[in-house]
Amino acid sequence: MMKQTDLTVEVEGLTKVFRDFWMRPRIVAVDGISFKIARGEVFGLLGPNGSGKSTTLKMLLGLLYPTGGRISILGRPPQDGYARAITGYMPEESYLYKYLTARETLMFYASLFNTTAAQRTERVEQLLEMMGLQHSADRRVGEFSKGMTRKVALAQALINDPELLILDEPTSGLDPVACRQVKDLVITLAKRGKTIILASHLLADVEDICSKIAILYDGRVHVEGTVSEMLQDHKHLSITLDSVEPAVLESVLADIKRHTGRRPEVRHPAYTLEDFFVDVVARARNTEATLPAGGQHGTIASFLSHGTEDRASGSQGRRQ
Amino acid sequence: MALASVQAFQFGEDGKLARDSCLAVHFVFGLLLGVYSACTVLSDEIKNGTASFVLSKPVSREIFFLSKFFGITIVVILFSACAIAASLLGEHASPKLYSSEVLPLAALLCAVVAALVVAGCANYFFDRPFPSTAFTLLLVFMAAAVAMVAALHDPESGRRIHEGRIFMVNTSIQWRLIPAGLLVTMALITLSGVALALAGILDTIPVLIASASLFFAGLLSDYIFGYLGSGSMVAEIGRLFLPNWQYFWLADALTSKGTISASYLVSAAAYAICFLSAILAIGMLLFRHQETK
Repeated sequence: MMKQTDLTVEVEGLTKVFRDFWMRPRIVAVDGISFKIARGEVFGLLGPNGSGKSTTLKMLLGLLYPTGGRISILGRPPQDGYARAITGYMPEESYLYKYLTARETLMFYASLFNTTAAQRTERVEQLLEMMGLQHSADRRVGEFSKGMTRKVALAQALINDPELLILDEPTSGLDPVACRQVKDLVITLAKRGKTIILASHLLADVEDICSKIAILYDGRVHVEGTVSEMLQDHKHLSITLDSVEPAVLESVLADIKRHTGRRPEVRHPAYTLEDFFVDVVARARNTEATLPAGGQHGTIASFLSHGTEDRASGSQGRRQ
Repeated sequence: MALASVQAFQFGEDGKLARDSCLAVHFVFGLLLGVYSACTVLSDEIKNGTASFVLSKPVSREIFFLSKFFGITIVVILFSACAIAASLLGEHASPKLYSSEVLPLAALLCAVVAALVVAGCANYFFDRPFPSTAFTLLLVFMAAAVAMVAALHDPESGRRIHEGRIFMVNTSIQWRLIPAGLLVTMALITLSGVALALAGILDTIPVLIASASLFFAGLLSDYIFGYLGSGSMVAEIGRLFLPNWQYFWLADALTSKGTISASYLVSAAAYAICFLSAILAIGMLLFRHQETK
């Protein structure tokens, strides 16, 4: 049983009914859902379009008011100033001011938190480098591609080094290298004890990084639990070996058949397409003298990655 | 406002038609600017999601609402400063009984053209945003144009400023237009506040319709609640809740060499502040409970 102090987010019987102009109930977007998210967990909210994922996230952010139920973020209601100060949010659409440059955007959002000017400048520069935006920092956001805009949106969500990070379709519009970087970042943050809530349609991403998921349909939670428990196939077993001589392999297979009565299937494990792509790009990058602006991704910002080892115990980590 | 100086007729008094036209243009375009700005900064931001993005940060809705109001107020004040400067030049350039001045009109048009050209160059060479640069430069060039025309055509202005009666006398340049312009500015800020309060809960088109209705009802306030409903409680309540724009429209007070007193300016400002405080408080209350998607 989780201790109350380990919980970052607690949702009980959350309901949201949208009403029409005459205040008649029109849509039950969220119907009495409950879940608990512990510190350091990466929690995935899955579901088809209209299942209530975004509505749930917006209630967690205090932008929508629940019709019923209770939300607690570190023991406080979502509208509380402290709850907002420790939360980072990246929405599905990047709602940024198009006339501000990337640097101005990050400085603006940083100024909304209780940070000093020196802290703001340092964090903004680190985030611009981390997102590979340092060459486009003084271009207006309105001129950016969707992927670059998403990077600015993610950077602003991290500007306050949040305890709770809410990401709505975080990898949408990003190239595979940036997708991998976002996933690595989420894992790093979880290792630092940060709590992450992620809503996504990209099941592979969720599978890669989430320690716990809830599947919503029609406003209700239909399944909730840890990814490893849900997806583990207890009827089969796979053994991974380094390559061996054919004769040794035959001998091992014969032994297994003798004990189980069945000859096991043998195949080479395949890389995922994402791993393969990231590898090709990394090799190409090493051979190229120059890179196009916005194409280079830096390392994770130091203010986000420091203390990783100290807090690793709270992490559920990446699915192996 | 430059057009105000291009007129073929005058109604018995030098510059009256030009003065009235300039103040009317100031009022109408200022209303459009104020109400449109209110819709853009609140209704549109709620609709396109930028408001919810900011409100997900530790920013209270009251601070968000008030910061929008102060932003609009600054825009309206800058616009009014340009409009008042243009009114002074436009009125001074309008045909008088015996003569017509060319310099003020040339200075007014040159200020506008120079602001646009310099802002265009700044955009081309330095990537500066055109609208805000042009707006700022217009204010600077307009002030320079007024200063130049005053130095050449009304050299006594400096002395009158020292004596503290620059707005109170009929001079070559009609400085007494400035208090009338300030009153119009107060009305614009008040109506912008009303539009902002509505923009927190309504879409752009309903805000425009409601603001326009309130504007026309406010113009008729004296007639409706004074003449038709004199003495009744309903009329008194209506008078309390409906802004009376007639308090801010004193173009007629400038006829026959008339001026607007400082005490009237203070009482009109007090009325605007009281009405604005009430309307902004209601606006904040409505916006506090408004959901942002």
